[in-house]
Amino acid sequence: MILQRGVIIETKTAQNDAPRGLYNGYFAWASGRSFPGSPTFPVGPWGTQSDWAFGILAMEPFTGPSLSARIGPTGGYSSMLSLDIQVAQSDFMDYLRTRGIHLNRCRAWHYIILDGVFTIYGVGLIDNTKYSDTGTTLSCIDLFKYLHRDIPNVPVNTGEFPNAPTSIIGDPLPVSMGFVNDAKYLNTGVNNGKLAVFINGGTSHTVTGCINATGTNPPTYFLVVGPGITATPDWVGKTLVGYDTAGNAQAVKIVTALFTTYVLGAVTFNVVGVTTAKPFNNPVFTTVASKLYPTYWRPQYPNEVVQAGSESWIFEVWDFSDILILSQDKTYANVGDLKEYADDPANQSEKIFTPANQVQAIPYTERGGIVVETSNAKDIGTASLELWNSSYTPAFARFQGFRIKGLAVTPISSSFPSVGSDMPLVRNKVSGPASGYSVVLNENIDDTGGLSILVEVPVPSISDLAGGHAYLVCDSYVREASSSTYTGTNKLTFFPAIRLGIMANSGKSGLNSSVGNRVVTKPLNTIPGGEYLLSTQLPIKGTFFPVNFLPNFYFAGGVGQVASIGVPLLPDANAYFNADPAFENPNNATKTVLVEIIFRVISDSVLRNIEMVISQLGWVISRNALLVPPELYQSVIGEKYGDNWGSRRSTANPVEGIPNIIEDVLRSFDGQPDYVDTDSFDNALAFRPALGPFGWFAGSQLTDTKNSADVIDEACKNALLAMVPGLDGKRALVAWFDRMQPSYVATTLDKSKWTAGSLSAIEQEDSQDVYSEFQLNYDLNRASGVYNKNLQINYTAENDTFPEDEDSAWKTWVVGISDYATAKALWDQARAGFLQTGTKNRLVLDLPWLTDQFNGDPWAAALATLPPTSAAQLLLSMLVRWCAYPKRFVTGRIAITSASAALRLLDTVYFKDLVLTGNKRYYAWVTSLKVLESEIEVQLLWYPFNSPDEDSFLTQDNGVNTGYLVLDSGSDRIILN
Amino acid sequence: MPSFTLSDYSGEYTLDVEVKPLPATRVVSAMIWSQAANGEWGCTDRGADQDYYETDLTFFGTKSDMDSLSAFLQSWCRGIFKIHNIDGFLFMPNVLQTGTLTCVIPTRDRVQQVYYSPTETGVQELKATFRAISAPLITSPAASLSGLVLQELFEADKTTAETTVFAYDQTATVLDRANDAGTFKGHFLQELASAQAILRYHLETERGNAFAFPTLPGVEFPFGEARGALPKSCKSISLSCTQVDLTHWDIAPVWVESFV
Repeated sequence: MILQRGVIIETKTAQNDAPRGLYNGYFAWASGRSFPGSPTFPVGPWGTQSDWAFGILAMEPFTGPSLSARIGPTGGYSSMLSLDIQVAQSDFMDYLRTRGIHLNRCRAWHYIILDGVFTIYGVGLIDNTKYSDTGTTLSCIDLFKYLHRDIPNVPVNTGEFPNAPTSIIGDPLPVSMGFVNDAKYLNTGVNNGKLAVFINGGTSHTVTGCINATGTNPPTYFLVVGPGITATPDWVGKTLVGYDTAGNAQAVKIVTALFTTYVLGAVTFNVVGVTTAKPFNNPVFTTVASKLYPTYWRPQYPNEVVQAGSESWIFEVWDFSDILILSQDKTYANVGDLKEYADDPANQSEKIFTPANQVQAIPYTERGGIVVETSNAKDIGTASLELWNSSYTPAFARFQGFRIKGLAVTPISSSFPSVGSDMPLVRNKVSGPASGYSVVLNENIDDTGGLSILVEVPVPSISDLAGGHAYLVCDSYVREASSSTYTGTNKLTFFPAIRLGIMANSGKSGLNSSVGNRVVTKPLNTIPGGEYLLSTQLPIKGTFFPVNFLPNFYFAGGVGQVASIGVPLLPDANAYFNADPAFENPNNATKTVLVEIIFRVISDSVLRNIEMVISQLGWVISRNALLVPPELYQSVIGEKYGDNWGSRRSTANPVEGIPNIIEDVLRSFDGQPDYVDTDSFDNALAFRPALGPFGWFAGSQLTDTKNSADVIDEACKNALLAMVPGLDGKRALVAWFDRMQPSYVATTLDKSKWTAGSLSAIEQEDSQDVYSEFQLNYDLNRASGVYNKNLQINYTAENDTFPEDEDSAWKTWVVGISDYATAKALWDQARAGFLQTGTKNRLVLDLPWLTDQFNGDPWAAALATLPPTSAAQLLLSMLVRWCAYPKRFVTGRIAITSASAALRLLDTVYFKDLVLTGNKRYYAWVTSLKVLESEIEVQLLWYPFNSPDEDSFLTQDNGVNTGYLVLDSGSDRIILN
Repeated sequence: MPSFTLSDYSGEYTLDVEVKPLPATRVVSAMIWSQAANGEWGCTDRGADQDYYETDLTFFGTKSDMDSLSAFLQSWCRGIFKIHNIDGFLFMPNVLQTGTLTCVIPTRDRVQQVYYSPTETGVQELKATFRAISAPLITSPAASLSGLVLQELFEADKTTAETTVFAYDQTATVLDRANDAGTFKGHFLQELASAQAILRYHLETERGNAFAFPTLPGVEFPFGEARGALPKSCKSISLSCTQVDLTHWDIAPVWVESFV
């Protein structure tokens, strides 16, 4: 038999150089001098490779490949391949350099060639190249060393999630896989919230979600998604279709996602009025306020003067008993009505102060407000107010501010909506002129002039704001009107201001007729007051936010003042918008926010024409609240493949169970659909089915970034599976524990196979890998990071006999299993192991992939008839058997033949030797393979306590535990084949 | 019997010593040979100037002589020293030995008494290896393989690449690598001129290259019959040359089959 070895190495180029064996970008080298007969050339990314170069490889060209699998004690993904390729040509590195070829991270396919028949035997990834006088060594590591990627790998970013909480910016978007729904957290709607829903993802992901429904008829189905769903971005904008238990399609609405922005783009606001303030006797509020003793308790008559024709002032009555308000000079003819407004909803009313009722008792029980204002621009002479209590002793009062009133501006510019009409929201240029709205004060102003615009902005409905934050933004500016004679040359002293108030009553057309406006003045994001060229746009900007933090009380900060005592500006940082009592006031059926934009100028010489422009005014409302509880991080219950899965997964057959999950990692996240040994995955799925009476209900959410190899390793250990590299480089998933059946025995390795003298001594597994106590933690709550449940087998080293059924102590010996017979069988098994090994080790396994779902189809109507055993219990029954006794190892060599070259990791074989096994055969697993010059070194592992020469692992002589242990409503164990 | 003079590098100290005849000489070539998986040999050559020549010498004399020599080697000439006034051949005959050679001693033994006799009169020996540094090479005669005088008992066989793996029950698996390559080993007894020509051919003219297997009486299949009869191409992967008497040198090359 002609034995040759060969290797094909990619170069990531398309170069050709036949003397060096470079064909279409692939080196193809073989040992020997030619191929005998009619070779069957390998097919791969290179096409069919029939051109090979001889004499490139060194005489002993390969070290390895060697592959190994570690399956004790819990399986996993620890196996890797190593391979060294020796190139004889000493100038090879120079050759690569001159050709611009870099072989690191290039794949290498190794072949055993027997009589011209190519058998692929290991695919590596070149990790290192080193050269010497005599040649070059290309060291390969396992192909997937660099193909595995980190997942989740999509960070939360402000571009895609502009309103994501700052605390999670940069964190990975969680990825949910498998069955991760937990019904106990979502126990509403149809079928206890367990209804499979598939988001029709088109060519991308399709997601199975957990939905519930409202009680309406017909119900509206909601897909409750946690943040994990957002890691599959392609679902956005897709048609959402759900299926109820009858298989009928239902329209589905997404209830919430973690990061959602709501911008109310349809709010309009009402122009209340445009006024001038003329004259401004004391235009700086603080000056006026000081005049009105705004921060002092007034022990006696305020006796203040209302300036003729232009001022109103508002003060807060600080007494909680009866208050009398008197007009000292009692000449109200020119003053107009005096009106009051009580902030207390129960006392809200309007009181008109006329000469006839100039002395009235105001039954305030809380602080309230009084507006004294003129109705026109007449000179009203001098007026004053006195505050008295019901005993006619001076009351305490505090002036909180005042509002300048004045003459109406006429005319306003044509572009500005007329007073009382609606002006569309300018914010974001939803509508309206791009330049904003302007009003021009054509009336010349003197050195004490000013201009204000007062608008009403409707408050968004509370339902829109629930859980969100509202920002009222105002962006305006003042400049000299274009018609001004003095454009660009003259200066004015500029004093901007902006105020925000909540209109108390509905139906008020504006400030002139409103009463009791609650006003807050915020610091302005604008230029400071001072002297400016009027040709400059002088900004008046302000942002009031969030609105749900509006003060509860009247005149919270006073005009031009910061908040003073007794007025909680931030009443409750956690309050929702509707917590503000003003909005809960039943009398405030129509809620309106008043925005008054004010400036004042002082001319340097003569009159000016001034223009005020509103460029933006409106609400920006965003939500970033997670309306669903954190527990619903586990609300997504499955993910199916997109195109990469082809026909293997479908809407009706989504990703379920650990084998699917691992395959999904390889395909969807590692992006390696060509390296999936589908047969092995299908076989593993047969032993670890997601559904069915003994399904492994598994799923989890990946919230921390880790390498996908670690994810796979963890998932394997949750189901006693092993992932190994196949000879063709594909990843193979093996349920080796379940494959100890005759149908899986590939061959018998006996005296006709083992090279004479090659069998090593039999070794026993280290005691550290033998366990007599067990604890499996499962049902991980991702929100809290705590495992909700665990199974335990305890005290196997301390006690001989399991307690009687009547002795409840047995429930502490075996924790988590309610059936006595099953608990006893498991304990006895572990105890028997301890008696033989004397090893008191405790195997503690965290099982984040195993939920507490019962087995079977979670949506099936017949669910109640299935045995309520979780996957964790299935795993425990396996581990007790697998780990209670030390396994054994033997190593030997077999000649390279077509049969031996077909041996794969974790193949099940019979091991038989005249001396070492007494010529009996044992089931064994191939745990290591290493290709030598003429032989393959094979390591076998076997479980020594099953009877030799028996075809069924399940009928071992000491077998109290036979296969899966399943609780069946208190009945005996069920033995599965 | 070669004789020569040792002196330290400054030439200040000199010592005349006697040495046993026909020292073992060799060349350590800078050619590094390796075999590819198809059986072809390849050479990585750092060049003839990185070859070096060594000879294993045995000095003898009285205790006094040996003490002086030992002291010279230990104290005076650790490191580089000179050899001159060479009479005969200390190194292989392709090394020019008529002038002064710069040498080092990579290894040496301690003085050894070889005859039972009173200390002062008995013969003592001292063995040392001398390596010529940048040894000058002869420029004549011309390199040639002509005049080869093949001695009997040459090896003109082929090696097979077959391996048989036997199982415990004697089940045999024969594996053939399909890269058989032959090797020819022989001894040639040559006089000085032809020995020098042959050495120059191997170490200078065809250094590391394939050359036509020379016609030798009685050698028709130098690499075994399976590889066919002459003409064949070959490469010299190894060479030794030892003086066997005052006029003859034994040259023993290893020639391997070349396919290219």
